[in-house]
Amino acid sequence: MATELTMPQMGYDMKEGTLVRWLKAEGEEVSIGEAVAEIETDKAVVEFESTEAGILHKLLVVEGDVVPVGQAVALVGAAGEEVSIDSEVAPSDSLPSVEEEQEIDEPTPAVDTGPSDVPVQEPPTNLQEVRASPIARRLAAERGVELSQVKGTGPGGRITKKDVLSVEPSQAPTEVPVISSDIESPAPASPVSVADEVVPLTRMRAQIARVTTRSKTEIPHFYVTTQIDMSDAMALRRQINDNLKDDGVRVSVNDLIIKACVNTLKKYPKLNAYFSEEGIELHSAINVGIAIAEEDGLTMPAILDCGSKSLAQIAAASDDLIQRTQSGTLQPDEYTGGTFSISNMGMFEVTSFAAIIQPPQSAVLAVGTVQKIPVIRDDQVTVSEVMNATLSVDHRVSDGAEGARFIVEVKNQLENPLKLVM
Amino acid sequence: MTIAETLDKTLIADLYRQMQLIRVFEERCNVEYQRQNIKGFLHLYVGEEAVAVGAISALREDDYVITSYRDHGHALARGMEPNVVMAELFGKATGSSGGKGGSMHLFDVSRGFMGGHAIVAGQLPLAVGLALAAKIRKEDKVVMCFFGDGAVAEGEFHESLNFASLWKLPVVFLLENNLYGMGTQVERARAGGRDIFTAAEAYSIPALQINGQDVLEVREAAVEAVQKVRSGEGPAFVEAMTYRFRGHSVADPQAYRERDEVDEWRSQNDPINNFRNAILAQEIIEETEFEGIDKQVTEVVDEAVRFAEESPEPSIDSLFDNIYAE
Amino acid sequence: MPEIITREAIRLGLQEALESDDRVFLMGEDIGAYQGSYAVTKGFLEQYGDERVRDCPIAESGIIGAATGAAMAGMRPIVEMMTINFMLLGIDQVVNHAAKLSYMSNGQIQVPLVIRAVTGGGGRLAATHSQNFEGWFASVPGVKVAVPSDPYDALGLLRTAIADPNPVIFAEHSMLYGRRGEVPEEPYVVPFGEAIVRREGADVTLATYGRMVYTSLEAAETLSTRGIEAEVIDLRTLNPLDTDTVVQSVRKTNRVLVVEENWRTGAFSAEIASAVHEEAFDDLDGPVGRVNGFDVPAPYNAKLEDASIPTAERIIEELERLYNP
Repeated sequence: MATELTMPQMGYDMKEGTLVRWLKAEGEEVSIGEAVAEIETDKAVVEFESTEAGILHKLLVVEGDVVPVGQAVALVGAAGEEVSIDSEVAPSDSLPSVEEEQEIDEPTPAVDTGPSDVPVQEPPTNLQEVRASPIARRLAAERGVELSQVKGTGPGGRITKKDVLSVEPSQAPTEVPVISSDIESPAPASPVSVADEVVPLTRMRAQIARVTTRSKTEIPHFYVTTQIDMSDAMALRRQINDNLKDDGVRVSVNDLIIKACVNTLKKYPKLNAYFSEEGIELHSAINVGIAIAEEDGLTMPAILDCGSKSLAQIAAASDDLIQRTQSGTLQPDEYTGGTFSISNMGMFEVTSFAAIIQPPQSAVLAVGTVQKIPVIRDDQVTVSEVMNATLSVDHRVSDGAEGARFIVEVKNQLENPLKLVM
Repeated sequence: MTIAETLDKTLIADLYRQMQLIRVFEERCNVEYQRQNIKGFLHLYVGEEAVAVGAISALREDDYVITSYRDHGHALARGMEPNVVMAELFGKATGSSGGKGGSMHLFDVSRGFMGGHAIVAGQLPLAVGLALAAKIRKEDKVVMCFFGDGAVAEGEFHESLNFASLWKLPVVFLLENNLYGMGTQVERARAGGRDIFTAAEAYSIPALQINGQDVLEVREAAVEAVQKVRSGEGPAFVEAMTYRFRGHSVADPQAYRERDEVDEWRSQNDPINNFRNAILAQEIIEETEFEGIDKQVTEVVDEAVRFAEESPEPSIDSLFDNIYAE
Repeated sequence: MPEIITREAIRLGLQEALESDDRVFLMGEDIGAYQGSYAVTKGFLEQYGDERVRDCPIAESGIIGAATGAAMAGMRPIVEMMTINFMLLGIDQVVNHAAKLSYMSNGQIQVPLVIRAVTGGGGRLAATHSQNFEGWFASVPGVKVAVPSDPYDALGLLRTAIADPNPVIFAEHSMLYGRRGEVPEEPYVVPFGEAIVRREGADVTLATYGRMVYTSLEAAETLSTRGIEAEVIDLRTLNPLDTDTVVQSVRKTNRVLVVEENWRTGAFSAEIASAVHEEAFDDLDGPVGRVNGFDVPAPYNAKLEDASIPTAERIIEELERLYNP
């Protein structure tokens, strides 16, 4: 068995080196520490001392090649040994170039994701000219004061806390438009608080308030519900998990639902889309968002590019996404890149519920717990494992019939689960 | 006088074993660096082994040793576990500093090894302070402070010699003059030329120059210096003339010296070969016994690499540990 | 409660440490025979002897390095740097050695070292002798920095510094040695990382430390005559830094200026300002202001030097410019 000589690290900042000159030819013997080649780093030409002993069977790079640190440059083995390059190591020209690797690493960007991602709000157009201090804005929102009606006395006409406080509450309009990202919710009509305690909004709470308010005010939701027999899917899942135990992959019920939705979305691209004034913008990638509960709210990070992933890959990606959500190491794309979402309250023993669509998406599937109930099959009462699912759809994008066909196809996939692994 | 008349056989074998351990350990470090298991800077001591081994053999267990960033040899000669040192070089949790120090910053306070210090001459004032503590407490400890010829032009060298001499502190200043401060020949960096021990005389510190490639000569000079220093007479200065067989660090093309010069030192002045040949000639230890030591040393180094490879990475939680003492 | 001056408070702290702990000794330039260039250690040589009150050659790196080495061996050295300006000659030993040894040795080594350094301008000592570097040191992980402004804090913080197992830069402002204040006879300490409100007020927060506490209090008195009540916060230590007390105050006052004697560019005041922006943004009625020394080498001439250091007038002007209160 021949071993590799790899491009040596010759300094902490060295990433690649040029093989300037071979000092040994194929067939010659080398010992550990003996110079086999000259390597040029960006600083100097230095000798490359062999890290292996034996016969230099094969030189894998030619003089002048630039080789990344750690990549094989030669094979060393015992005398008389047959060396097959293919079985030992890929020659350098078949290794992915740096550019190719980057392409592979990069998640496929969602095309036409619509004008705005979730956390980005429209600029406060009606307030751009109003200069107000942060505390003044906060107080104005709390008291229902329209800042454009307040005269600022601070430097440069900035509206200060004092200016807001000097406005009589009765002068304030009863309804305040949502004017900027600093103001999370419509202000109460009365400045007098009736609450005994006010819990300040966390960033996440404010974000959820903004997004759900916008979704429910802008998007006309409709809902379709069905009951799915999960018996076969559950059996398949147990079988898969037994088989994959050694690989460290565990398929969850949710992973099956994701895969069923992905298969179905390929047939119904309008539910993997977003409504804009220009038209219905279809997403090319299927990025499935999954709702993850956190201490003070939830996030909906997306598993990117599910369209090309097998069930096992989805399971691994989903597990990784949950772990990174908990450790706070999600990429920005994963926060905002979802094109369809699934909200699963199975662990709470909820039987059914409806979810709010997360813009820029047009549908979300809400699933409850899988429970054993008596069902009638072939006129016989039998026990099945069933789950209720409710699809919320943006009526501007699609209608009831398509919603129904979609959810029935999801049902069909889950009740004939071999489709999920084929 | 033969070697055997001055030293017992066990000690001779041990001096050889220590030098050979450092040599094999460091040659292996070089390989592991090229394999990217060791990162950052790696300064090897190959060729200078006799200095650390000979000098540290003159110390008691409760004495202090402090040195520069070229510190693997001193650490091993002071008895640090090869496993723990290699694990530190690999950046592992089981390393002497849990992977936070690396090659240049080895510490083992339990053995009085007070560190590799990576700012040139920075360890000299620290040595003065360790000695000051010993003196104030009326302990008869000695501080052996290693440094290279590059440190001699720093102000801290002169400040420290002055402090130690002025306050009669128990420091052995052990200069490893390997003729180059990084790539600058000592004659090109120092007015007064390459015989640096004369500088100590300016601070009224008794000084001598010795052949640093001869472990017995180093040991003899160190024993004498330690004895004198321990008696409370103040510091001593030993200049060991030596040579670095490898570059300053791994990526050194060594443009500043001739290949012939290096080859000559390696062939004529290898401290380990010379010692082994002298002992064989005097028939103190047999060839087979040396082979047994070599084999054992190689096993120790193999085990150190295995230990380092299999050790866990430090946990991210440890990032904030020990910035401050509690 | 007896009233003493800051110099006396520090003397008390040093004497107490020398008498209660054999590991404590003093090192510095002219702390013995000369009696201390600011007379803090007057009489010490006679009282404690030259083993524990060690006059050193003029070699700042050697002094700080030797003290660090002694601390590594378990002693508790207290160094006097005649002025913080001279610490630049020893900064390597502070930053590369004393600050790093605990971390690099993974806790094997502790460096219980106090470096008392005389800081600040205002003494007509010109550019090389009038600087404030305590903010620089506060940015180094592994070092703590205390900045007492009165006798009570000087003694209380010094006690904490000497008991701390880490290197502490104890910055004593040269113009505050003669400042008088009450110091209780019963034992007390001032913990690190706890700022104190020197004056309460509802309208603007002045966050500051060292000599600028008094400049800020002077500005507060003037503002009070105009019906504006300033809250003055003395940070007491820069590392650890108590931003909570400042933020709590800003939540109340909605306006804040950070006042610091040091040059403005890259000053520690920016660190505090940034923390306030991050933690109290929605409570602000305007931008967080900074009043620092101008970016000039300290001039010798009295009129020029006074113009380079923040004054009560400048604090008020900046408050008007940013907040128009």
